[in-house]
Amino acid sequence: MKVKTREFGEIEVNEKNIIYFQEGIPAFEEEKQFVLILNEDKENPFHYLQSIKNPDLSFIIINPFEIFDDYDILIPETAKEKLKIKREEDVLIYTMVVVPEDIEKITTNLLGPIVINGEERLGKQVILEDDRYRTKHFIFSQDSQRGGE
Amino acid sequence: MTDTGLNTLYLVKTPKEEENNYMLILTRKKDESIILDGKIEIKIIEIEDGKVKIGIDAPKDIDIMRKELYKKIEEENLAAVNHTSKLEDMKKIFNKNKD
Repeated sequence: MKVKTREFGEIEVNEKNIIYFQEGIPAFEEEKQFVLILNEDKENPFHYLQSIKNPDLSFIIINPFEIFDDYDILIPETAKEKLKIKREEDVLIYTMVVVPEDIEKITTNLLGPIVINGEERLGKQVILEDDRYRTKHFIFSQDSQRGGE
Repeated sequence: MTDTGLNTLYLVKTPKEEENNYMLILTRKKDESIILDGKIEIKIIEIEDGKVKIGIDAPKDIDIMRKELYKKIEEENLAAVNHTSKLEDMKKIFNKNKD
């Protein structure tokens, strides 16, 4: 099917690659379908999560494990249940990125990762109860990866 | 408050009126519970100094979270909406910081 995006114009998306977010995501509860647009440039860690319905709605995402060596999460039972997670290898995890005016101050939300069951094509933003993580962690700052809040 | 042995219970319309939601307001004492939808039990465990300790017993597929946390995630998601494509610039800075 054809999907309109602001970044890439109209793109062809195999319907099998559409990820269904049953509850939408917080603040965008009506948006149930997204597609991952992965950057083919291996040197570039930034990818997109694009809404199927709304060309103007996309998020820049990263694989947090590539950037934060000590990131680890425990997926809550509720999420496992909803995403029908059976095997660890089916799970994809991304975190959303906020790009402020000063691009050096890019942050990512390690508290609310996007968890996807690639096998079932189900996704959900999981909100962790983990006091090691915040909604803002600097990606580029080496001395303190923890953001302003 | 005089203890009549009865619990106060009244209905108030919420701001979500258009979605046919009602807010139920009722009084509970320590160790009393309410049951939602026959499967979620919310129990008042302790009341002290303006704080209420609540126990929630719910099936595994029910998400429970503090509202302020949900709000924070909402705000962050709104801020995360991508407005311009800067992936190339981001890559440059990423690589610069890596070295």
